[in-house]
Amino acid sequence: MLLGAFWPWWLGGIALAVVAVGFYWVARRPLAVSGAYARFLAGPSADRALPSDPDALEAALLAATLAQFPDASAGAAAAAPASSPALIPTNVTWSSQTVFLLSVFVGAGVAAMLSRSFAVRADLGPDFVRLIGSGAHTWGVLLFGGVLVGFGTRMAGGCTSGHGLSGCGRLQPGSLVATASFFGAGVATSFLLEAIAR
Amino acid sequence: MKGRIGVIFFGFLLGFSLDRIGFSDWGEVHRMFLFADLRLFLTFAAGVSLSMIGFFTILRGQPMPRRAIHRGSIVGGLLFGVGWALTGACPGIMLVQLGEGQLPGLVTLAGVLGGTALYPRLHARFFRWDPGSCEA
Repeated sequence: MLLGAFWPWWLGGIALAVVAVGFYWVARRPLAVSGAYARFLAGPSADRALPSDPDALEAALLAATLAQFPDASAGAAAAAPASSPALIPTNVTWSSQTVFLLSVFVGAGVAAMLSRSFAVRADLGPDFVRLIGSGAHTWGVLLFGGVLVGFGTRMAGGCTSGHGLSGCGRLQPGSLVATASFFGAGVATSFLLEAIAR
Repeated sequence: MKGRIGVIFFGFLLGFSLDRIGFSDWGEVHRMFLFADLRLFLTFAAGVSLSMIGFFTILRGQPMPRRAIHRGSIVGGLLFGVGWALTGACPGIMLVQLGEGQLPGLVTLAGVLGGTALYPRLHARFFRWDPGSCEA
């Protein structure tokens, strides 16, 4: 069952919960893939803002806030220091987040190899070809969709892992609203795709 | 170092599980959104429910970031949902697709990195709320 067809819902649910709770247990922070991308893009140089030295941290936060709100006065920036670390979190090392993203990639590769489903292919399957098509224009669709995913998850402050599992699992209001929004938009978009193709 | 090995282990388990669940399959995700196949919805619901048990028992009393509703919660969520339905991929999934040999995931990944880089610039310019962070 482990390496045959797709897992039944209960086994998949157990696996996701083990990862969400286990990850917090070892890393002392919620599982959050979209946040890992943001941290990856911020680069290793942002590691210096780690809270080892409170004064250095405060100075780094102020500098980052001013960089993000160039027209704000120092007083206004100091009044809202939370904005900057929220957008580009620097309390986790760059290497930790990069290694995490690579581990997801490797884990999927090993699963695909063991289940003999690994195959290099240039399309995303028959349903994608039926609804979106094949050829160069699909790259545009994927790039556009990818930008929406990256932009939207940063705007909402999380994705399926951070809001969906970690946030909804703790009944956080912002996570429940964001999760309902992205599942709702996914449903609407998929029905729209079918309607257009018909 | 112990934390690092744990991050690698659970990252690996996440990628492994997402492949075996089929969350990286465009058609499976599409059928989930159409309610044509409820397996992925049930998987996610079971994952949230069991996580809830874990968070409120094993991790009870540990400080965790609060996630309040802000002006980006709904709009950001909606934009993400449209992108998810088009690409079949939420943020971890393009890495899973690439691990399985699904090359289009590379284009989606480029888009996600672009969108992730773009947002803070527009946020500083136009929006001024605190979106919270997955990593706080």
